[in-house]
Amino acid sequence: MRAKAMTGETAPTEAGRPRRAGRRPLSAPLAAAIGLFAFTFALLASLCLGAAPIAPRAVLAALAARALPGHPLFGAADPVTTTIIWELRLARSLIAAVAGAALGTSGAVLQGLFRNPLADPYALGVSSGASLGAVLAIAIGIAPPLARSGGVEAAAFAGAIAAAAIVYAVARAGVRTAPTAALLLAGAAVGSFLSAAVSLIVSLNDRDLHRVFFWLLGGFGGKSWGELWSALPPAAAAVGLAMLLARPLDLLGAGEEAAASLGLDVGKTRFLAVAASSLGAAAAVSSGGVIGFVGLIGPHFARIIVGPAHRRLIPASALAGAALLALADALARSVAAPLELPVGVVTALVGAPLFLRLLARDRSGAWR
Amino acid sequence: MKRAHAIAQRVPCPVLGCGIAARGLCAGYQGRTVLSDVDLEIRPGELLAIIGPNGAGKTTLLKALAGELAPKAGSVRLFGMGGEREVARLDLAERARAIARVLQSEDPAWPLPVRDYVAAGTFAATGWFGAPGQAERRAVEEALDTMDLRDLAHRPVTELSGGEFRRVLIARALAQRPAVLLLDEPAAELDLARQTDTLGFLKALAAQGRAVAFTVHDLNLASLAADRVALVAGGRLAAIGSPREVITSETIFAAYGAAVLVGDHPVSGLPQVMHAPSWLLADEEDLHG
Repeated sequence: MRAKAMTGETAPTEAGRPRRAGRRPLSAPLAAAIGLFAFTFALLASLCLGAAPIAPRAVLAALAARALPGHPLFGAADPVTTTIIWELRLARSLIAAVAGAALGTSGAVLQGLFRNPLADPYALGVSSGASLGAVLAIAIGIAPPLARSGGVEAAAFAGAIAAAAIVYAVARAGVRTAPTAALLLAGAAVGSFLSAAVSLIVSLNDRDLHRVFFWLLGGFGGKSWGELWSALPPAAAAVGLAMLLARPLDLLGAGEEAAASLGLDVGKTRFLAVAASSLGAAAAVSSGGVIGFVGLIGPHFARIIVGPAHRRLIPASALAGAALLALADALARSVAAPLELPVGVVTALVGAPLFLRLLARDRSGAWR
Repeated sequence: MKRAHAIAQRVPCPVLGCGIAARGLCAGYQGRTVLSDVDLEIRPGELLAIIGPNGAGKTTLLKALAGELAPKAGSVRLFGMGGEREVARLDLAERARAIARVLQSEDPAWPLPVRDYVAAGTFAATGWFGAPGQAERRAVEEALDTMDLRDLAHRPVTELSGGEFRRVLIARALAQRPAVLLLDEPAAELDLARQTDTLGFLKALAAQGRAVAFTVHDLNLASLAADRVALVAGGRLAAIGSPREVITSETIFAAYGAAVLVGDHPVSGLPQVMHAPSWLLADEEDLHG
């Protein structure tokens, strides 16, 4: 009765307003099923694609041969195929997936912190920091004892975290600018400074230009299980930390002042969000170089499927990022086989037009 | 008042009998004092209207009362829970469970459904790691019912009209289950019917034993709805008391510099303000003489 009284007295300004029933988000189990299916599909597809395509059935047989020895689930496996899958492709696909999950999570967290769907995991200068670390390791040989065992990756990871820490410290020291805006400004400034340093070192050291160039464009060529195990812990930590931030990020969506009045410690949230996103971006960048668009487009896909609530958006962004990057890496190594394209080129060439198309067609309200 | 009665029956109020008291309060921002020497009490069960010219410090006063702005001098205390507690000493979660402040407007970044937006009000009760329990979920559903938002529960907050969104903001504050409710311009930008609806809600919420204060520009609304009126002007609390005591042509002229006539509401007899600008009254005798 009362409800009628309230909504019945429609003012003229509201009567003319188109009323669409809000699109209900998918139920949680259905969304999870869709996400896992898409991820599994992408991973299998990436195992099939490569310099020599392998039929899906043979891939499954090869996987079963080692995962479930003695249970020829998909028929007898060819030993060569089994070796290719297990020694070359599986680890590489999984690294791409882990890096993609880290980028997707990192993007979702930063977008939540900045209240803006256009924030990118590299907004805090993480990619430039990682590049500087990697370039120092490659060109100057700053880490020769480690060079054989992931020295470049370690240097990139350290550079990424150092850049984010500098950006955070500078933004915190600022008094006159709102801290969150200061983060973005400091990120841009520190990022360009570090990029300039990278260019400087590269132009003084053109001997390793090719290696540096390939690293800067991103790629998973030659990566194996060892790199997977070193990328996994920081990526998992980033996803776990991001999940703890789900509710605070929902609150931040109302604005920092409102979130604070609801009892949220905004400063602590900001620190943890920067930590989670930097950890994720550092894990990705140190394992595969600077790969654009995954951290932007992964959360966007996720938002279309599961809606904007962070408790669902964060795992969905991780899955979407993982699926996207595993597929992009498969494309990178198969499109011009035996030549291998940098995966960053693929994500940008495919991702940017797709992104623009989504942007132009979006009616879901995810962008408003 | 039938509606107000209906609400009074529906909403349980777990923390009744708490109010808030400012003593010698000075509030402001870095290097700038906006208000000084404010003595003000918001008693449980009362609806207090805070009026004053633009920039007089009404919002600053609300922030200071909510404990979001530390007092430069004096104190703000929560009283009635078997003792007094300094609001500035409460931690964020304790504060948000006792006092809710509704901002004048918000710009939601994401099209979250109304229910999720309202559920943010239970954050202080659950904390970072706790999942919303049964009590919190019930608080959300009750808040949705109270503000008539059940039909909109799945609607994205970004697609609501101004009046609907205002109800969402009040519902979220109710989900905090506060003893003290502070609202910044809850009637602004609403049409006539929604203004009176909103104030009816506030009266009902106060009638349940909450201490409710709101800032408002419309002096007539303040007079009709509020139990007491506080006038903020010139960096201090210029007057506080019943509408009849505070809303007079003299106090209004002194605070706003605007010439007004004050008459009686034909039904309630409460004071109502009418503009009396010089261009209308050029031929009349001096109103204030």
